[in-house]
Amino acid sequence: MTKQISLVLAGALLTAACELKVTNPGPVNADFLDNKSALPAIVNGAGRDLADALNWTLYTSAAAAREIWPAGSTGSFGISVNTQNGRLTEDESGDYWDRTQRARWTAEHGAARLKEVLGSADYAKSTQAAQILVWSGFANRMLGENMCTGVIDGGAAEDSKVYFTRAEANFTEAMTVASAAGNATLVTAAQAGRASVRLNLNNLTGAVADAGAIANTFAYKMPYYTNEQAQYNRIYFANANQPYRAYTQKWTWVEGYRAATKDPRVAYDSSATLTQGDGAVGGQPDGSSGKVRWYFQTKYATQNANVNLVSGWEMRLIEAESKLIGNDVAGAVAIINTRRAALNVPLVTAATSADAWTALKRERAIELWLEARRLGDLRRWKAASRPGSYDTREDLANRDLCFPISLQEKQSNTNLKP
Amino acid sequence: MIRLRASVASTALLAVAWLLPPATVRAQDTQSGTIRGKVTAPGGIPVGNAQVSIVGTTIGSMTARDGEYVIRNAPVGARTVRVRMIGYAPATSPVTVPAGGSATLNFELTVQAMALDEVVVTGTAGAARKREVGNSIGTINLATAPKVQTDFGSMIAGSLSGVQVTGGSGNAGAGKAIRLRGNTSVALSNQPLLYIDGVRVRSDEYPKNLPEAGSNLRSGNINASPLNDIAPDDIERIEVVKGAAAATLYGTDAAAGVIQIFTKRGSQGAPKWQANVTTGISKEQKFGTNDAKLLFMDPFLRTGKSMEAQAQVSGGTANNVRYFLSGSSSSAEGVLPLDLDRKYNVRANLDFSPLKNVTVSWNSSYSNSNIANTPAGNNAHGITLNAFRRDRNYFASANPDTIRQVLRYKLNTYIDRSVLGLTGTWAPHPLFNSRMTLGMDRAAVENRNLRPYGFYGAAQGIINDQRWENRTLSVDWVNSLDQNYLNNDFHVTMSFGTQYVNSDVADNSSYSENFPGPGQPTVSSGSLKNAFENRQMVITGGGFAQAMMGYKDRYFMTFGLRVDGNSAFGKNFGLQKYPKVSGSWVASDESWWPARFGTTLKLRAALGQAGRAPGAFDAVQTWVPVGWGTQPAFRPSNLGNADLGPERTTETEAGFDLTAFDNRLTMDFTAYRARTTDALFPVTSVPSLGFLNSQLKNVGTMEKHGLEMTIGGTVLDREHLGINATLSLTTNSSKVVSLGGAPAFTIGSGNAFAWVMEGQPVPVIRGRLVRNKDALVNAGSAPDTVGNHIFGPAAPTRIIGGTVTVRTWRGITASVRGEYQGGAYISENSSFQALSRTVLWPTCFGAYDRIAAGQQITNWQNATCVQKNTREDMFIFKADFFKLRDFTVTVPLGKAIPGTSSSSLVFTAQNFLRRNYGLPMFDPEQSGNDGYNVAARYISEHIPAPAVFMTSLRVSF
Repeated sequence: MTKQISLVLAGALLTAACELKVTNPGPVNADFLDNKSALPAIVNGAGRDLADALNWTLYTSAAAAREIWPAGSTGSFGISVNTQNGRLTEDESGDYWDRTQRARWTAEHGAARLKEVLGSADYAKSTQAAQILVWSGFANRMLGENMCTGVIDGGAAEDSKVYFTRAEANFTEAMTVASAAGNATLVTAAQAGRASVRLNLNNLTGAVADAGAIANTFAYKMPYYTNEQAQYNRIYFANANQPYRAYTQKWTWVEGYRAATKDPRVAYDSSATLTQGDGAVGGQPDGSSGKVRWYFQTKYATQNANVNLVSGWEMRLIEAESKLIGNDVAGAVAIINTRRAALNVPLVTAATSADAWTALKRERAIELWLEARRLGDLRRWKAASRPGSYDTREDLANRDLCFPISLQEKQSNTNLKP
Repeated sequence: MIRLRASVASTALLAVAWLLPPATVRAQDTQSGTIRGKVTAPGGIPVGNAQVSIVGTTIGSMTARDGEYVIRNAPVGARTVRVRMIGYAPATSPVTVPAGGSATLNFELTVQAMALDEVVVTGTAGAARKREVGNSIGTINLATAPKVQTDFGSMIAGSLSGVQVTGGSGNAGAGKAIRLRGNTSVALSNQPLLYIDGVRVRSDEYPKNLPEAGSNLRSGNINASPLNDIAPDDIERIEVVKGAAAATLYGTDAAAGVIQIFTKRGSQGAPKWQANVTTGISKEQKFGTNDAKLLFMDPFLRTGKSMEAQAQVSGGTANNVRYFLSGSSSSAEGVLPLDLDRKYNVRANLDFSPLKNVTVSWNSSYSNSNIANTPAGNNAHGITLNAFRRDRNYFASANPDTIRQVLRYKLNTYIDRSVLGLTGTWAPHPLFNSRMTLGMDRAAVENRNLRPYGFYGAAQGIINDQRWENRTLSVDWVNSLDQNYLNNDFHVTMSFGTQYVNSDVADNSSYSENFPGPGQPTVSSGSLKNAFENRQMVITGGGFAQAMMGYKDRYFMTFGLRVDGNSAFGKNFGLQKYPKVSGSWVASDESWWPARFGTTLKLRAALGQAGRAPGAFDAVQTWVPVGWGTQPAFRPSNLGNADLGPERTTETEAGFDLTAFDNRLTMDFTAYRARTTDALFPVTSVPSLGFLNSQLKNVGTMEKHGLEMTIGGTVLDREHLGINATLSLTTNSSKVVSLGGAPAFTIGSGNAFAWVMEGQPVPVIRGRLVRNKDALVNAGSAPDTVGNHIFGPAAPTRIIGGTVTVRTWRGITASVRGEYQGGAYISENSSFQALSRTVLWPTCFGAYDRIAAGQQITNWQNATCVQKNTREDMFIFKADFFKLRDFTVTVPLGKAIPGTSSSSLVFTAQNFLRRNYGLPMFDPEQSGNDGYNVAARYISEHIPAPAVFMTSLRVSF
């Protein structure tokens, strides 16, 4: 009996000693990334994170800035009731703040990982390094233009200009590295990006100097892909009738301007069979409440339509804004009209500085339409008390001009706690 | 077609069973005789499935539905026959078996809700008598369950105190959640562990049928349940241990309790046949307002028809092989136009003794389900969303013919489920036995999700095919050694054993879109293709030791320790130990106990721990390969936590089991208090540090406590009239004691507004309170609201259930079962989705009239009916309700059908009456888009589960 029990006990102990270690495939252990072969995927990951952040921020900032008008959807690809009313609240900011912060972090920390893995010498002439620095710069610029508050790596709250400062450093380093790597496109993209952040830092001299180096036709675009819905151009898909018809150009300044000028930069169209959005909204400018006429933008006409991060024509408007700040009305108008003449749309005229500012504000709205830039412009001009006016359909009273710190950041970041 | 399928399956089963060796029906010899008789309950009601055996032999039989039994080849002479049936007191009676002749022996059993000598095995390290067990073990008495079972969830709903069954929807195949003593974890599944005949099987839901790319709402938005694979008619009894104090020996993963199902088995004797044919209908009941009872779904809903056929045979051969075989086939239309749930089940259970002192039990079951669903839920391509939103839907049209375009969407779920178990018991000595169970549960699901070419909103078509498989291998080895001392007054049972569970999930999805044209596409048909794969294996292994000591068969103490390891623990985390101690005292066995009221009383108390392990990847910092276009790309995913371990629940319970007036009154009572330490909380990551996903950390502390009481009694017991009634009461209160420095966080869908906050229930519903609801204001003025208001718990804090059974003339019985749940709050998101789109919504019809007339409206109407004022977190309501779970009439037909030994006709109506106390529309129990097992449900654009009306003819021969 004792022998039998001993045998059973030994068996039980043997079974209990079974191997419990399991390595599941799929997600990659962080340690594996410190490897040269993993670097392209790290750089691409930073790019995808920036594309993702741009996708989300672009759409909702466009709604808040009245570049688009809600057509009913409030969830999924819709515009929340808060945003419809021009409010950007902390409990709804997660998709914008969190994603854009991730884009900054993955790019900045990816660059640091590249430097560590490649070594300083190879890093300094690496196209991959230049690319991830460019992503860092644009991620920081997007934060600076769209977020109310600066927070870096779980730190304390600071002025949102910190993002522009970091972006300027990112672009400057990118220019050096890309130049050493012999990649002219990245050099130009970084310099154009730096011009745009220098404008926000009120470094007009630097901005104009950088802008002057960029040709009119240059454009550096964020690519989107048809592989899966998460990589589609979101502002296209939200209105592609697949099945969302979440916004419209009805009730926006674009409606009248496009009809009057045929300006191709703010193109939209309509459908004879699908005449209304996919829901309905209240508080429309004519006092009505209900379904909205559906006019769909065609600037982005496919799932993989790319979005400008920076362009030569934006550089011209930086130059124009610099001239206006220097009170050179004629010079500014001339620059604006260069582009308009090329497009064969009516030229602008300005008798006063205020008129010119009005024209410039409109022209940036047109040139940078649906590129996640409008809130930043509105905020910069408001902070500097620039003269000029806006279309009444864009000038929403009590509107928020930036996304607050997200609830998740507020709750988790101990440096933000009171 | 339905009738044909059922008939074919039944015929096949009968054919297979007919091939069994007719060893038990061979001619009697002169050394044996026959015992026959009938087993009845009070009032002469036949008791089917009772075990009848000759004491001291392995010869026996089971009663048929008419309560009759026959034991052939009974040894001649004076014998004792014993009858056992759960829910009744065991009965024995002497009989003299004549050589070559027949003796008649009838039994009338007495109801015994608390059978102290009834053997239970769940949580007890082998078998134990109930008197020895210090914790409560719920045993579901099938005699009191509804007579026509639709699924396992319905079967146990309202059957035991402390058991809550929620979820379900109007979609075919939707599962239900089971909660034992409420929620135990906020980060992990609260579904109890499930065992079938000792084999660990999956209890968590199956994956939802959704496309892997694009919106995860393109679906029927329901989850099928592995519990629905179990054929209710195969079940003999169910044991439920509700918390850590009782589930300690199951260790890691058992904190939410354990349910063990025992299927029927054969016994010695001639084959006993039983067959059922059930037909029924399902019909949606009002869930809207009086102005829109079905919320504009009227044109799309139908009366669903169902049909089921089931047959089973059991018996035993002369060489001591006992068998139970069953098969069933069913087909049930849903109330939604495409919904159909077709299923067949087969089971074979064998018991035999290949060697001296060795018995072997083989359990095998296979089920196959084919579920078709209508796209529904918060799905822009679904029928409910587009019907609810009227002309503000994605078609911009309320025309039913226009909306019916979504019915081209095909959602099919195919489930293959096999459970195999082999249990060997070796008893080399009367005081020692060793039992090993090897188990395999394989659940394979194919989800096929097709929007064909030309589909509205996806003109080129989209298809996704998911092949998901969960294989669970388990080994359970238990050894017990008995010792008696002090002239057998002192009894010790030492038990030790080891368990191993390996759960492996392989999940492959293929997706494509852009078909070249019409036709029946496959994934290969699309021009753009994607493939996805997830694989996760989790291993748990451990051992236990237990000592149970009894004195004078009325004082009992049990000490136990479980030690566990788990592959999901962090690398800094070692083996975990879970101790337990329990005691019981059968006070009514004391000599001083007064016998005059026929009272028995057992007092009991238990203290124990159990755990809940984290997920496969939670401990490791990971980056996930996501791709970017055609390029490889990494994205930060999980922050990782090397110190990650299981959460640990320590539970104390105490109570008593009482019977009085010779079993006419029964009562059990349990008070429990559980504290979960190292609770796994999804601690919010800092977005500016790159990782957006929450990280599980063992930081929290939670508590819950409650009472469970069941009182049953025979109110009236006359020859032609009997009334039995049962009342159960459950309370459960929970609280987050500490967040461990972590910020408050939400769980489940954001639409549920369920928060985990210090000092609040787990979880608590927090949202926007509309104040002064009835005050009159001008339409469109700023509403009087306050945000972040604490409404109350997401789970009910009180459940009252009751059953009344009336027995009348000729044994015709009628029973009714009802349940009230109260104390919970729920977010009703459908109304927000509609009102935020200015849909003319039934709850606002009155407000619209007043606005049109230029009159003031109430603050509540102003907040919810005026679009610019609506906020998603306003639509939070009390979720209290009362439901009649079922009403059943059983009519015994005796031998009225030629060729049968007995038959009965059963009529059942289920889920046909509900009253809400707070929620203006919908069913507070219905599931949302996230399935039934989510930590906090909310009401989405689903329809509730319909009422079901069934008739069943049950025959024995």
